[in-house]
Amino acid sequence: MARSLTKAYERVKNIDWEPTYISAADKYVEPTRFFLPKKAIDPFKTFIREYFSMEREKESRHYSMLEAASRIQASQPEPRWMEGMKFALSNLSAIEYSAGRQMGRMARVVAPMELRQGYMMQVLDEMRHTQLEMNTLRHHMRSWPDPSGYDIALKAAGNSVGAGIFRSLSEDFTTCDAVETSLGLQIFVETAYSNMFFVGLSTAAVQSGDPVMASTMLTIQSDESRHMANGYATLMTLLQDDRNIPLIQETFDKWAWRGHMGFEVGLSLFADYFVKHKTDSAKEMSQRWLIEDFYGGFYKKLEKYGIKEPRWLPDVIRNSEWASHSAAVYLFGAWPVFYHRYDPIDAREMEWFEKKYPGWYSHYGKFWEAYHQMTDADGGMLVLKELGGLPAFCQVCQLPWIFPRPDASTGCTMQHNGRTIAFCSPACKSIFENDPVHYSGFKSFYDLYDGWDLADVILELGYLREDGKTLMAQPVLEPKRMWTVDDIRRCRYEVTSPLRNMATTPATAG
Amino acid sequence: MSADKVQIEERNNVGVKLIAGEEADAAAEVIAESYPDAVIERYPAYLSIEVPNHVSFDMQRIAEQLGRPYDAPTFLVIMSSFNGRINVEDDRITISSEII
Repeated sequence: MARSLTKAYERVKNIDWEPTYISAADKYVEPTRFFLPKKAIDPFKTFIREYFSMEREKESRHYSMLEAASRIQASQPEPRWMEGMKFALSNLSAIEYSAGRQMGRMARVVAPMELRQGYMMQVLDEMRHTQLEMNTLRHHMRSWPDPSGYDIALKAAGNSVGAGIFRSLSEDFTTCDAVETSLGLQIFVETAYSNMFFVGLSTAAVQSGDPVMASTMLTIQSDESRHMANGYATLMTLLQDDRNIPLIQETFDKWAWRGHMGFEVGLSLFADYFVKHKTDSAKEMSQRWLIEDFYGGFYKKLEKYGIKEPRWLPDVIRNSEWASHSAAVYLFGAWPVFYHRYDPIDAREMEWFEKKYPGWYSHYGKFWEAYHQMTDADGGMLVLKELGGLPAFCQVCQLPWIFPRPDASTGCTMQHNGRTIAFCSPACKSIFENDPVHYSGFKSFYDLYDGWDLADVILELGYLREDGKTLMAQPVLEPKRMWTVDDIRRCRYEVTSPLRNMATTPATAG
Repeated sequence: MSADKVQIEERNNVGVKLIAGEEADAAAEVIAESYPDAVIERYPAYLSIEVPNHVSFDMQRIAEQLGRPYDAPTFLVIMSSFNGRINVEDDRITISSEII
């Protein structure tokens, strides 16, 4: 070996300097409430030269796969998966882009050189991921028989009601204390949850006939490996100063819950309801990747530093029994305001659900029966209207008030500056109370559309096909006749906020 | 519907998820020889290697298995994910279960 990277890395670290022409306060722009020691660790010890050669190799391997896939259609992919990807990819791409912005901010605020270096490479990684996902979108748009929905992916990530979940998560990461961003994003989203999605679901991608997405997921996750190490390095650096312990604990309490509602709920929905050829249930994936690998293999070991189990972990575990099903009730129930074709679960799959989640049918069976009865555009029945419209949305996580289950919601409300504000749970309410300014400005579906006819909402969102009338979303893959905005108008459904006349509901104990 | 206190069991397994291909196969061969306790599982697009407590990927041995030069940055190209605390050195990548 010509030279030792490890030794070179040690040498280079010694040439860091503090500039004299600018004060520390001006240099770091934003203060942090954490205490940052001067010395930090960097388990990857990556130089920019090695970084680029590594990433070039990753790109060359992945894009040759994309090139091959555009030449040869090996098999017909599974429609349920390909339609679900319209929603998934549009949100993923937006989350990655905002993660890039967050990393740039962290590099400005966090002083130790080793951590800055890792964050700066992560800025580039996140831009790479956005592009990988944009290229997958482009590939799917060109190869999938119904490109409608893929073509508005980024716009929809900005205006869809479902994307509000991910926007609220990303915006929290972009605007909270930058060190908190590292602990929340790199430890909870990237270490705890991204494995479950990008590695765990790569199998579903292959089985759904979408090798391009499988390759996208695994090459993205190879960068996430460094991001996990960035989070770990930040945490171990902070743990050198005991004053950080209560601050870390409070951050973990918040992000264990935010990561669950903002990310795990979505990915469990995907694993259970967008995969036709089922293997593991979302609950089994959560047990393996989250509880065993993350909490058992990592988090538990932090006890010796005085870090306790996250405050709402019992609620996270209880929720993961029902989260995907409740999220499905929301996503399928509100189908006209999304931008893909739906493939509702059939009788055979209902048996699978009952087996994997005993008691499933008694809580969700009625919804699916109702759904199947209202898929005909000539029937004049809209499942959203018949089931009483969308519930209130949580001001913090932007999920509707149906968790853990629609028939056993932990939802609550409070008065804030003369407004009634809703929360999905005591956990989100407590997060709001600790920092109301941070969350009170987020406009939910009802803040924007209360009192509108649903047809006008769809026109405003722009989720229409080329003829300007046919909806992008359809309640089944191949309806007898495609639903149009006129069919929706004939259903006469006025969007009505449940908070209009609601009295304050106190938080109950979980 | 108050949730009970949860019991999280501490785990000491470490491991990697490697993007499937000849490099992953070579790494798995080397690990199977050096660690009799290793659990190697194949999935459609990746290969999972899990070992109790500690694992070290020796680049020289993977190179011999492949029959061509191989180094740590190239191994990181196929390393989709890992479990445990990682340390990347010139000639080896080590993962251990203890907090370091």
